[in-house]
This record gives sequence, C-alpha cells and structure tokens, in this order.
Amino acid sequence: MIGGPVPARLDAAIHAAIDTFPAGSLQVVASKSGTDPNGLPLVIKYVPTQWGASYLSAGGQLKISTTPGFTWGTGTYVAPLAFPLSSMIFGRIGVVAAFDPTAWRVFDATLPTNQALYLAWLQRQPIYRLAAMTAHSAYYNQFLRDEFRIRYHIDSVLFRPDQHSAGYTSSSDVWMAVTDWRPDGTITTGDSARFVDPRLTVLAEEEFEDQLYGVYRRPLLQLTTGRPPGLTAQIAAAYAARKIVRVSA
Amino acid sequence: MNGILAIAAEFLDRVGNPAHGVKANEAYAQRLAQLVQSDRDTLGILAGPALEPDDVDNLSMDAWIWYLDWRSATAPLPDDAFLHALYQRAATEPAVRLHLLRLVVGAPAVREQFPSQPFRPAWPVGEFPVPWLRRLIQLAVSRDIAGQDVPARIDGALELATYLLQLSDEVSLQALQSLLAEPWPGRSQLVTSVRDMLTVADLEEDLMRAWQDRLGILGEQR
Repeated sequence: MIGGPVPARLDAAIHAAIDTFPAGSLQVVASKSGTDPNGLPLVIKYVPTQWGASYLSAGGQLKISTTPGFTWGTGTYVAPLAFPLSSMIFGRIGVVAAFDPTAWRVFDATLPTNQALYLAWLQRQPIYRLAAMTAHSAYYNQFLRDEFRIRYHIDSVLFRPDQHSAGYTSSSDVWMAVTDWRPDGTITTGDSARFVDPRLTVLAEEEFEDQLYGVYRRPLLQLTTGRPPGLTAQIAAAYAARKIVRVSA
Repeated sequence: MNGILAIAAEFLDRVGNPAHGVKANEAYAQRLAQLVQSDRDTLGILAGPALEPDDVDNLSMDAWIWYLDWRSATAPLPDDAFLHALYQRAATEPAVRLHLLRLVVGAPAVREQFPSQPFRPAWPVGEFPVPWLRRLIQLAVSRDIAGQDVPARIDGALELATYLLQLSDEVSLQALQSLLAEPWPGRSQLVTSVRDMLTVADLEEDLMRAWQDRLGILGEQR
C-alpha cells in the first residue's frame, strides 16, 4: 500500500500506462541512440569540467542525483544519445555510457495522458496540500516523486527537458530519470549501477550561465548553430574506440 | 557531540540545501562521492559515528534530511534519543519530520518486526513494538502535555496521522491503527479528519470500506 490511498481505477490506469521494455517509447529512442560493442544502447550525461577526469579511464560511475526539486526525484539523469547536445547545458564534459533496459518498467511522462495520471495520483496523496501550499514544495515533491516511482516500481521516467537553451535543447527531446533500487524496493543513492562503462567522450566548446534560476541556460559563446548531422553515430563510434569528440561550431 | 559532523556541517549543507542551487548541490555531492570512492575510510568516519541529542544543532535541517538518508545505506538507525531530539526540534519543519518517519519505518530492523497482516488488531499504544514511534504516538494522545489544549493536540495527532497515511507501509499503517484506537478527548475529531483524508482520495466505495477497516475506523459514527 506504499504511497497512500489511491482509487483502484486510477491505480489500474497507472499500472497500464507503464511499459515493460522493449514495449513502449524507450525502445523508440533507444533504437536511435547508437550502441556499444555489445549492442547496448547509449546515453549521454554532461557534467562540469571539474569531474571530467573521473571518466577518463574505466571504473567511473554516474552519480545518482539527490538534489531536492529534480524533475522526477532521486535518480540518475541522462539523455538518450539520440539527443546528443540536449543536456550540454549542464557541463562541457559529455560522459557516454551504455545501459541494458531489458524488462525495465518505463513511465513515459512525455505523454499528456500519463502526466494527467501522475497529477491525479498526486492530488490524492495525504501530503499533497503541503506540497502545493507550503514553502517546502521542493522537499515534498521530491518525496512524492520518489514514492510514486517506488509504488509502481518504475525503473525509468521519460520526460521533456524542463531546462533549456536555444540551439542545444529542443522541447521535443527526451530525457530520462533512471532508478537504482535497494534490495527492499526503495531508491538508493550513491553511484548508479545501471550504466555500463561511463567514459568521457564529448568535449563541448560552450559555457552557459543561469537565467530564470537555471530554467534557461544562456550560451555564452553561441558557437553551435543547429545540431550537426550524424553526431550520434560519431559519438557512438568514438565511445567504442575510446576517443573524444570535440563539438565545435 | 560528533565533532566530525560539526566540521562537515557547511559541506553537507551545500550538498543538501536547495538554497545553494542545483549546481552547488550536485557539485558538492559529486565531490563527496569522489572522496568516499577514493578513500573508503571517509565513509566510516562520516557515516559511522553515534549521534547524540546535542548533535541536533550540528547540521542545518536541510543537511539532516540529506545526511540521514545517505547514511541509512550503510549505517543503522541513530539512537532513539537523537531521533526524538531532532523530531522535536523540527516542529516547524514538517519535511524533516516526514523524512525521519520514513527513515525509521523503512529501516530493515523495524520492518522485520512487521510481517504483512492486513487485519491485525491494533497494538495498544503502550505495547507498540517500535519504541521511538511508540513515544511519538504516546505524546500525540497524552492527557498531560503541559500547556496544550485539545485542539492543539488534535493538530499534532493529525500531523502524525497524515505522515503515517502517506507512508502507508505495514509499519506506518499499524502505527496509525494504534493512534486511532487510543481513547483520548480528541479521538473522535482525529478519526473524522482521517476519514476526510480518505474521502479526498476519492476511493471507490468498497476500497473506502477496506481502508477504514484496515485502520479500525469502519462503522464509527461521523
């Protein structure tokens, strides 16, 4: 019963909305994201330059984000490599990793119908009033997003970018929040075990500054105009060859 | 007092306090992860020490939320005296209280005591098996809280009931059952308020009955 009382019809609708890979939209974006030598699809996560050295050799791991207020709670935030520049706004270092989504339970929050299901679930939660009507909303929303993912054992949520920069992020892109589980079915923190061999593969020639508290990230150099064609394949090949792609104008 | 934690206070605040911004939170969390990875002793030093009631002021409330969750992956629950001191200090910080409750009811040692028993009779409050939670319930329904009239105590009991209903794991539901079963002057109002929360959830009729039955309030007059 974790997550408070929920009407049976809503509970059933949410269960029905969760796809088990390879069914559903993750398969669609994964199939456009290149593969590692073992055929696993690829993701990219941009991190600040200071952490780049952690991913120059084998052994680095992507870190699970615990920051309150993140879009879908505690998890590892990545972009499928089909969207190679989409999350560059978070750092100059593009870390590429493979992942095996076999049998993952995926909630596609890019779909308005699924967004409506989540909101309906949210509004029925005992602490919803606190989340909506107090100054602590970041904490409550984090808590509720985690509870939702725990209750329905959601391995990954797909969602549209909620931070932007013209020329890099498109509103039609897809980002992913990925869950690492503890044995008891709650969400763990620390290093993510979901991603294989994260490696520094992309160096970006751009810096960004926050506007609107980071919702908009203004590019300072504005060297990149549009998305270079073939970049996903180029990055995937560089990842396989242990090389680095420099994304320039 | 835990001196190491006091020294780390500012660092942990930058990891867990959203006021510093996402960039700072993420950077400090990454730095901590890197330190722990490169020197496993760091983990033991930071996560291992016992916490005393006078440690409550060592960290900000934001840092406590983050730190206790982080620590729970490797360390057992802090002692009840510390948990109680922090819960009381967080009287105006419901987010901290909710996280503390989740931490306690989710602890493996606590969960093991509560195999799923949908129709178990309510524990008398004085016999509830988790001492820290038992004390919280007792305080909520106590007849002799100095300076608190019944309406104020109802607010406190309802706050606890709200958190327990939100968590709705086996431990929380049994605790809520005990809270609702305890006779005290505010009980009737508390039962009504919990029933109202179930009504807001818009449950189907049979599910509503099942929840009320589970909580031991089925058939009570409004």
